[in-house]
Amino acid sequence: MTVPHLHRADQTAAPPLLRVRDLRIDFAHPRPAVEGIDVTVGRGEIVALVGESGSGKSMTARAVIGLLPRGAVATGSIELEGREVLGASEEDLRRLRGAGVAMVFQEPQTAPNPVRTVGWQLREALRAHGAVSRAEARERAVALLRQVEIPDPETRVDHYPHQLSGGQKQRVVLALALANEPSLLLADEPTTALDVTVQAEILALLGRLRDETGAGVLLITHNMGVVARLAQRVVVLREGRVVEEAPVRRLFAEPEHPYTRQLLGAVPRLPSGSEPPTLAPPPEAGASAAALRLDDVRVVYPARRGQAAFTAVDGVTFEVRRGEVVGLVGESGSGKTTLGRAAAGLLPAAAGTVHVGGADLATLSARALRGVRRGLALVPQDPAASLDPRFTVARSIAEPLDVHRVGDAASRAARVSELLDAVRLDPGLAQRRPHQLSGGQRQRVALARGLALDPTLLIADEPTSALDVSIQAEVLELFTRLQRELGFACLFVSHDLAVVHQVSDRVVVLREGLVVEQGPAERVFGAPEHDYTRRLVAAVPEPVPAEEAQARRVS
Amino acid sequence: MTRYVLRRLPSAVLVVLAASVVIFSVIRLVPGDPVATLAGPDATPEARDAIRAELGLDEPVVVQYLQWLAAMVRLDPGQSYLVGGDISRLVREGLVNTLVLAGGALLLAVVLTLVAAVGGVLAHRRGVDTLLNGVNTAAVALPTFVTGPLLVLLFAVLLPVLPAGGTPPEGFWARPDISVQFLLMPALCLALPAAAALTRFLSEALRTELEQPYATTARALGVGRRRLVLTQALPNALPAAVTVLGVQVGTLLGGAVLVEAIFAWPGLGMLAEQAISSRDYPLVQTLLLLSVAVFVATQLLTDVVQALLDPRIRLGAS
Repeated sequence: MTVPHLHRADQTAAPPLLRVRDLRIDFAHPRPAVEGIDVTVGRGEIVALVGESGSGKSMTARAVIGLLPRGAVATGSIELEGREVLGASEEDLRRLRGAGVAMVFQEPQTAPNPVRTVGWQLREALRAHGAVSRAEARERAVALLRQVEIPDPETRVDHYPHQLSGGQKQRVVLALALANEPSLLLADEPTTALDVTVQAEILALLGRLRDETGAGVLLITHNMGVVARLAQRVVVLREGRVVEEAPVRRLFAEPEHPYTRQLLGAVPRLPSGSEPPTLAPPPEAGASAAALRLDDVRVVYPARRGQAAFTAVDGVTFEVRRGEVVGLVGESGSGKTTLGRAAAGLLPAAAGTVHVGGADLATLSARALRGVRRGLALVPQDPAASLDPRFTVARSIAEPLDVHRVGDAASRAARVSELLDAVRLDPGLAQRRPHQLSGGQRQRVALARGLALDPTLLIADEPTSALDVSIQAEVLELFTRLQRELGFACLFVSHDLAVVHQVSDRVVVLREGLVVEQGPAERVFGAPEHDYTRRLVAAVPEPVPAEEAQARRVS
Repeated sequence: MTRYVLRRLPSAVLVVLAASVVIFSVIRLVPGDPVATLAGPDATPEARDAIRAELGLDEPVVVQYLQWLAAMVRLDPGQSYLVGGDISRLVREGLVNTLVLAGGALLLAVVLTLVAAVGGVLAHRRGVDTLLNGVNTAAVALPTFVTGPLLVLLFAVLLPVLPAGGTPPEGFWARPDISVQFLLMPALCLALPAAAALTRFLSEALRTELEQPYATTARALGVGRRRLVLTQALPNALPAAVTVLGVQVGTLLGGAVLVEAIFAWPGLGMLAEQAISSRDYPLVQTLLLLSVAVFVATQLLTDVVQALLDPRIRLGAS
């Protein structure tokens, strides 16, 4: 990808494509969401707006396209091609949206309308900015689908969103945004919901589209790897303020602000190919029964609603030894969550056996299963959804103790404060409810709850993927420390290779329900044997600016 | 799609069968004896036994049930005890009147709902919302036996523009313009509660749809609110609204009994009222089973319409 040189001094003559000056966005909150942000985007330039949740990055984008939530008040100035956006009439804004500035949304599963065909939605986008005939609209729609590199666009144009894959849906969302040839694209976490290999494709496509159309791109993301791969200039936001702004190479080479350094430091990285894999000491094998053992396991979802039965995983064999952390990685649809649930005895195995602590789950009586479950804990992906919103933190943490009737009220209360201490939560939070906590605090509560019964096996399903990088780094560190202290075994399910690499002793790579590779983490990520693992590792966007990464790969 | 419908058939048949058992037993548990009514107070025990035997009421209950079930499957429910005549003829005459009434009410309910819900969401003004909510609450709160006489008082007595009751003397098809005049008040009376419940549901569904990510996508592309509501939010909200409409058909059937009484509308409701008060077992059973069958068929139809409206069900996953 060629990177045009921007920011030449002579460009100051014409107004930049987008100039945001002293933007403030106020809510009824104590703190304004955005407190005086300045950002400019030139034609053909890709500027990354980076920050964690609550930094105001999405609000800024929404202000640019005039879609702030109700009750938000924006002041300052947003000029698009020299025209002021703030204070424009609703009709002027409507005419601007899609034509002057368009937005690419984060969630391709929900961004398109489920009951309308792709072609219909593209036609609607075109219609919003001038009458087009049916035939013309169809022709344009097919051309747009071709532009975003959807195979067989003549057929796909008549498909509904649910008939497309996640990556194709995101291409459709891109096509919608490009329909009226906007001069500025606002891409709000455009690849966050996608698998790494698909993410790499979409990022490359975004770069090519910028080259073809000459549109400016304001890329909103929390992923430093994505920034490094695509952006030319980076604006770092924190709590509604710009803390640093720099060309991408300088930002990564010499970050000035401590927050930028912290952000970059928090990004989990894979070992680069040049480093020799340092083999971890082999975990003490074999002596006692494994904490978890799967033999030739197959899990089938029965047919329903006119859909055929679906084999989610097949012939899976691996084990988690006592005190060992095994990472289970794979892309969406690989069956990793299914496998996690089968390991916890929440889904029956259609074939093969699942042993937890030496006991075969299939042959256990309900009573014995209860005993096994006591030594097994789950840490779910989204504690906001899995913690009962009406329970206090203390009650949530104590619930496993209540269920298994461990100790009396006093000893349970003591255990709760012990656990709060273990996960480094302020005891003052014990009486709060989940909605009063931050995402990181909620995940600590979920972890404390999982540890309440001193499990021998913890099954963690994407435990940090809903968290900001710096919070993720803290939670992972806490997890590693607790694991070392308490010595529980863990099956760590995640799509994030770098995270898995950081916490796991061994790794199992899953693809379409089959194990393609397993082995020590350092070996699998450092010198992958299977072609799929190699592609997976290569697709992870490294937090190193594109050119340097290229240079490094060549040398 | 065809399989989707076929899969629902067995459970539908089962529901009708179970309902037939309940109907048959409940009717015999209600105090009262058709023989006593038929024979009159002065009849001798022998005369009563003769009547009992003639009606087949001396057979064991299970045999009576199976005979009745066989008759229903043959679509030949036999003779009425007391109301008089062939049951299938009685039902057919009543059914036409009730279908016209319920159909008119259903149509009216759908139109009122679409106008009120879509209009309210499009108007997007607090005043309009308050007004619609007020009317809505009143329509839900006022029972049919209040709105019915109220309507008669307003449009037949104070402002005599519509007939106070009855059906058009020359049948429905001879003079459609006159038939509409006869139909308007009873249908409105029957439609109001259903329309109110549906409006509340559809408005809320539309507002929820407008908060969905796809609606934000459309707005960010410059699609106007009006088009967004009509061409995107409405098609998404409709499948669920159709389900609610299907349930409302049940309410409509129940409401028809009252409305027919108020407006002297000789439909199934009036027939049922006569049949029940005279303990006319075969007639009551037939009418109840018929309404169960209609309700079950409506639910099946609802599922089909829903599948047609939602491409995710219609086409399945790729």
